[in-house]
Amino acid sequence: MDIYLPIAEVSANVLALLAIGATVGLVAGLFGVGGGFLSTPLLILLGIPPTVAIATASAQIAASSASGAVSHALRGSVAWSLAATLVTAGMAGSAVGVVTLRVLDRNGHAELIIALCYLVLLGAIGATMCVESIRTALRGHVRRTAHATATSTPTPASAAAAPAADHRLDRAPGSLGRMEKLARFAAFAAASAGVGFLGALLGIGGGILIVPILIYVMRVPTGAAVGTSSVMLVASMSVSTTLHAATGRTVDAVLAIILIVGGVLGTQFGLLVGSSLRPERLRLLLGLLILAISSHFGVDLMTVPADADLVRVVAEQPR
Amino acid sequence: MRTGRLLLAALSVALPAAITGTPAQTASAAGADLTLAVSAPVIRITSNYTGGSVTAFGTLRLPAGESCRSDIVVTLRGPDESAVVRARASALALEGGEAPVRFVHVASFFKVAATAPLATIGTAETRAELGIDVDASLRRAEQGPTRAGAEQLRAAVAAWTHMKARDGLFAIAEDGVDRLDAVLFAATFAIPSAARVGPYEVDAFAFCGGALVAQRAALIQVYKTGFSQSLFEAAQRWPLLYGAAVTITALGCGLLANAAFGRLKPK
Repeated sequence: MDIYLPIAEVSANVLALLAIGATVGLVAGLFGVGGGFLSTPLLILLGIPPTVAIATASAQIAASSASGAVSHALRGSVAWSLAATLVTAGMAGSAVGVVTLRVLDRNGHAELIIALCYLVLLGAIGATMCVESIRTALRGHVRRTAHATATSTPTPASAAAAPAADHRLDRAPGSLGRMEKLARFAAFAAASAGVGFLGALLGIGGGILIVPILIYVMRVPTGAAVGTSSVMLVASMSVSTTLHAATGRTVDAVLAIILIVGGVLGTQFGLLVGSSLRPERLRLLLGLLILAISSHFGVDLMTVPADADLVRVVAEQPR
Repeated sequence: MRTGRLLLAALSVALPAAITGTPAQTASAAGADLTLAVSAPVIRITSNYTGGSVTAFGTLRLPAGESCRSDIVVTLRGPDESAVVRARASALALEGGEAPVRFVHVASFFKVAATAPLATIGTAETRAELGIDVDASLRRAEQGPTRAGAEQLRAAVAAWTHMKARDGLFAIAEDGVDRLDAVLFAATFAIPSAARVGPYEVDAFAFCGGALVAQRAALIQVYKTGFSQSLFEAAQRWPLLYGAAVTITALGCGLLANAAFGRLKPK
């Protein structure tokens, strides 16, 4: 059963789109990530124009992040002062990312840059996650929540074991000097802006990036990192979606709704399955999945087209 | 005097066209009668649109006693667009060092159907002039800060046709025109869902002994209707409002899902 997507201006199989949304939701439910790194490449493979896939995936990530953010807020897992910094910087980064994507698309560079970023970014994250989870498994003991979420985000099981609230960030440590506070603020803002930028450019939420940065680089407690990042994702992906629609006219509402519906169903199933698996195994699975996607982009970039012509049409004038 | 006679001859060909609005026939086409019609002058895109097809049909009557080999070429050309073609180096296959080749105002959709191999119909110049030769059309459309070299242009043209053919937007069917009887002909073109909306021009060219004797044109409109059209227009006319609406809807769906699965309660 095919449906015509009015903004993408192609027909696509509804069941395939629902399956993509459900797969993304499953991954989100299993690993607590937004899943944009998965939905965008899958949509492109299905024939959706890359710029539409990126813009519309932002809407799906905004939806899933909103769901998570409310839960974390009610649980008291959001450090609001940190969230304010991340949201502001993330939104600014998203805006720059949207403009950058427009420029790249106009000059015919978008497809190449997107593929390179996916290759490098996902390759690094996937490899790190696989190595870490294998080491943990080999050591033979389950780490505590803070360490169990070392590479990405906490699994539902470990998230539930995390402290319900950690307000250490809200209460500014009295031992920090002014310069240290400023440095911390600048670091948070830079990380968030960078994640927002990449999110708008690649159609990924950035949860898989910002949470490890917050935990391992910024030493933010895990519970606060996960909850606060979800708030940041809501803001940055909302800005990204709106700006993509406003500047590029590339957000397909029909596609977004289908993905969101599939994602909601998949998330619930992922939560069910995730609660019964060991965290390090889940992280290994996620790492392997990410590496597989990264490899696809790598193979596509490194191989010459099957036909004899060593050229590729990469961009066309906006419609 | 000679100039005046040439001018008069040209006017005698052009004036009927100006009066009737139909393409003028060449001076050597006296008596050749070509008609053209299309099966679907309008293709409406609805929510379950998966592509369409159109059949161009007509009649060709040559003057009595004419014994030349007659050929018919029918083309279907979609709205114009611009394309950037970038070479990919054979080594890492990342990027070539050459500047991209840019084609401006080329057909986004182009299909040709004929009764014989195109190379045997008319001359290369005639085919290029009539827009039947896509290679020639692309070469004319090449524009960029620096002119592409011959090899680069050849590769870019080949890539364009390959990519378009892969997407179902380009095809040459050298036996695509069916002669249903002595005078009636038909050619069917598939239009995939990815084809752009807009006006599509159907052109039929009749050749007699390799010379163009008649041509006709018809128009097809491909456009969105219903919800697809409304949504598309909203996205184009009020992009910021549309984006905000999609964002709010997405956030609302997320909250609704949360509530529906009972996760709004504090744990």
